[in-house]
Amino acid sequence: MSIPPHPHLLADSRGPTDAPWPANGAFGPLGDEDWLHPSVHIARERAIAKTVATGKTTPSFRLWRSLPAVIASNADTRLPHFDFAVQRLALQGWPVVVRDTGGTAIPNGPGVINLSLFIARTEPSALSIDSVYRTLCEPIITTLAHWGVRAQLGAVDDAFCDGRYNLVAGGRKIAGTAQAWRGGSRENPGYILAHAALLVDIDPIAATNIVNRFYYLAGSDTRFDPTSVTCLRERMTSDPYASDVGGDLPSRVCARLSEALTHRHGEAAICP
Amino acid sequence: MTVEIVIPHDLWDTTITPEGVLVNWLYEDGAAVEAGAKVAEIMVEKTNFDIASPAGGTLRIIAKPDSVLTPGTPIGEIKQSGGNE
Repeated sequence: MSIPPHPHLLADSRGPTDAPWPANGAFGPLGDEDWLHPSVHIARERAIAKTVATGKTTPSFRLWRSLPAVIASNADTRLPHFDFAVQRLALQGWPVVVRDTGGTAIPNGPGVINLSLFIARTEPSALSIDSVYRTLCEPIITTLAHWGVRAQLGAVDDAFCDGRYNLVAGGRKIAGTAQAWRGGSRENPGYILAHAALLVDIDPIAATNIVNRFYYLAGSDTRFDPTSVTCLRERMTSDPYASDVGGDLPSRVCARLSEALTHRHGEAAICP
Repeated sequence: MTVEIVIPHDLWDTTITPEGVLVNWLYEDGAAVEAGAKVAEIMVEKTNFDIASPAGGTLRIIAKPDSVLTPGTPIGEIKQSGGNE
């Protein structure tokens, strides 16, 4: 089925349409795994968050990978042609889903490891935005060091979904983070949800271009610089776990990250 | 009676991040809202916070999306039903 050009595109035929168009495979090998649609992950996380909000579980982490997709934020839904962008990208194999945490749109797929942190939100909270980001990022920093990559918190000009709590390696963004703080009163128990998206095995140029294309279709002038982003495969000096049986690089990173989380927070901290 | 919708004073640590941004209104100007309903979302350091209505009534929007905000800032008002201003 073809969609006629949206009126807002007729007036300006320029835009990132000549950029390399990322096939899904540009996001790392799909392999034989049945990757879940990101909307399934988001629905699961909302269910976990509600349980955490009742205070019935201790703070929990979740590691997940998804099918290729653009994961937008609530702020993006206000773009003038958001629905058109969703429709067009879906037809081209790039579903767009909306997450609860802040920031702007990001690319996602099997080459990205997503780490979610759930904490019951009490009032007054002993936590801060800063402390939650550090809890989320420290295990990732530890894990990246296994592959010889030194990462630190920081912003990267012109990177998609930029912020002061990115993880930066070699001056480029290698992981992004965001949070949502919901409820938190006696009448409305809440939770903190924190997300990290670690770019392990992707084509950074294609990844940035899919986000640029989303914004172009949605009627925004926002554009990001593909050279502001990197991934573990680009940065690693060696792969000490290459001989591990089975699994791709993201799988090996997941295993080490899971170890780091368990070491720091205990076995019960990781939920499916 | 009119009640202001105010960004809570202790919502985030302003010594680290002085300002936030209004991301979305979940209701349109003039809509009826219930007390406690989530009416807006603000963002600080890519962290989304809910802003709940302090009362039930008719919403009047003061701050537009993308407005820069500090704690204590009124972003809207609720005109309570049946009251006189």
